Amino acid sequence: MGGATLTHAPAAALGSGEEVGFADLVREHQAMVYSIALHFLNNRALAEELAQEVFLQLHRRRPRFHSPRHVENWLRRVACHRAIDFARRRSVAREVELDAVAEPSVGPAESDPLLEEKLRRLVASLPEKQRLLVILRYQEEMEIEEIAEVLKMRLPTVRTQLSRSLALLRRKAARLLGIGGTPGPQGKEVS
Amino acid sequence: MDRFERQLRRAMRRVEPPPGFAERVLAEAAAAPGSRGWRGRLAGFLRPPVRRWAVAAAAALVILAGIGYEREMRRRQGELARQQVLEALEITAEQFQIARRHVRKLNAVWEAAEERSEQ
Repeated sequence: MGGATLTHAPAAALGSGEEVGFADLVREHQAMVYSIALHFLNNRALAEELAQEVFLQLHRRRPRFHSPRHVENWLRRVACHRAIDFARRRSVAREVELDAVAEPSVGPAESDPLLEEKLRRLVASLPEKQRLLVILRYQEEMEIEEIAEVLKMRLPTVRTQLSRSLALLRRKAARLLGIGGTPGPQGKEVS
Repeated sequence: MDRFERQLRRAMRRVEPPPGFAERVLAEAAAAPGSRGWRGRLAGFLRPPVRRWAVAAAAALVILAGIGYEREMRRRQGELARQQVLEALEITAEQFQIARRHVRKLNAVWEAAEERSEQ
């Protein structure tokens, strides 16, 4: 998993109620929470608002945490659930129209900001659960077991949904961006 | 992980929030009711909607206490009056018994005098 490595100092400060500990936690996890929100909502202002709400919720619940891993998992889970709430409440869950993704003018390079933006828009066009799975898998680089734990889903369900999401993304990317040809009818099995 | 997944991972990498994000969160957290002392928490609790209800509840409590006090005072006054009436009745009964004894005595003297005059 590529998430930020947690030190014990901030989490230890959780119970003490020191604002310094909370500030450390915000700085340590802000990119993770903000990115989950941004990749899910595809809207910077809403992503910032959501991330702020998640941290304020963390601030209210500080004494209840007992380990850095607990805090990190809690932040991921709450960010995911709040993202779904936000999207439903503010009607930003509009799936990005496939046609709205413009054709690339040149062939895709290995690192292409424009292509990456189009890929993010493709991810934003996925259904809610599949979007979350892709975010946790490719942004947070979490294992299937970890995703299942954070989202409280069954392992086979996560595996199947992720494979379907990836296959869907491949098809869309192949059709619209000219990349990511499908390896099979269900896409490559995610392991 | 194939090329497409690598591209996906690059596209989905974490991004930092706008500058000043952490400071804004900390400012919000500091302004939150739970971050202040008991006075701040109380003030936070007594925000306008709660304050209106608290004032209404306090007013209702004062009115109910007033009604209760008034009833208690009346009950005590009634009890006192009852005690006074009972005492008055007791005194009256005592006086009545004394008068009765005097009448009996006089009656006995009167009968004795009549018997003597008949003899």
